[in-house]
Amino acid sequence: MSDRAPAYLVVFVETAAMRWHVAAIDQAGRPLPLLQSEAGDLNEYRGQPSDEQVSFLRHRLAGALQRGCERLYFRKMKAAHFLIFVDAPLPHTDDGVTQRLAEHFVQWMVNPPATFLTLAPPAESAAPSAVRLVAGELPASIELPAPIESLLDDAIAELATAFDKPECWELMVPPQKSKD
Amino acid sequence: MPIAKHSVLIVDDEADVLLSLTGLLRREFKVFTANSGAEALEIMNEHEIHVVMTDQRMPTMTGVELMQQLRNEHPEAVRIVFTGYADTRAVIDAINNGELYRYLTKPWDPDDLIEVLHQATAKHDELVAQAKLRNEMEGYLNDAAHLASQANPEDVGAEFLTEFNSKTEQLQNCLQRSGDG
Repeated sequence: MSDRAPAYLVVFVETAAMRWHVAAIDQAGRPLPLLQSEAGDLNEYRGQPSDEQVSFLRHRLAGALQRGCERLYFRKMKAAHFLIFVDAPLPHTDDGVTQRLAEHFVQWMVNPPATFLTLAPPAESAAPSAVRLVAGELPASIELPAPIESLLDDAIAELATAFDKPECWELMVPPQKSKD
Repeated sequence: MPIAKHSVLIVDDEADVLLSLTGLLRREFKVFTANSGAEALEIMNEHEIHVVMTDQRMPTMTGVELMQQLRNEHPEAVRIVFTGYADTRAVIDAINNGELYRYLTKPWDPDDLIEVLHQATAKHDELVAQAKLRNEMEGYLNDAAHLASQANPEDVGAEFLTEFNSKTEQLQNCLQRSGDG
């Protein structure tokens, strides 16, 4: 059994900036910013056929998860569940791309499992929680001080305030050459 | 006397992945890095590398293409491919053709990766030991056959000598077949 503290590993896609952020949520429900990409990091999928878009996004986001796992390791933590958020349906894609991407991660990630989520549009801001499931199930694998939906609402809101504070994140610079 | 670390070569065109994996692995392995298949081949020719771990999705030369070349030029190196996307056709073909020891998908648990690499280095040692055994056994069996041919059946017993020659021949055949793979 691992002596590392379990945590949720979050990848959050900020669609307006076409970038991603990686953070952890610890057992006390505290968000911990880890990594962020440059703005426009996801632009490469624009204009591609939908199959290529899904392929690009799952590769890029799997890489983000990978880097997050390694950052947790050096903090004596371990991912107990992956939470992949998009703040809105992915722009510049067909309708089905976000769902296909979500189902890929949920089917592909087994240990730990993954859940793909989005945030409710502003018109639904009166709803009890902004979190919406796209694929998978909300985790219940670690002890938390509050219901998971409430905790995610608070954690995501707190992380969002840090998105434009580069000092909070390790910046990931993309490779110089584009991958085929 | 400290035990020498096994050497691991990591190949990825993303510099931060190389940096991160080096930090993760350097306590337990001697880590080399390359940012392309071409650079990996150069390093393989200059250093004794026990395990090669490469990203599949790289420009110019894919991970599987690199492994096909390494299988011919450095068959003793244990080969691992990792990738973050699930287009596995090329990787499945490579596994079925015996070019890969493992296929890893991102994200992996760092503890699991270290364990896989320890298994891979053990596999390398096993392959090297088998190759050495084959090489030395061939000479040993030839010597045995030669000695038997010189032996006087009356001194050692005709039945024993016949059985000895038969066993020697069987072992030489087994050795021949084990080298075919």
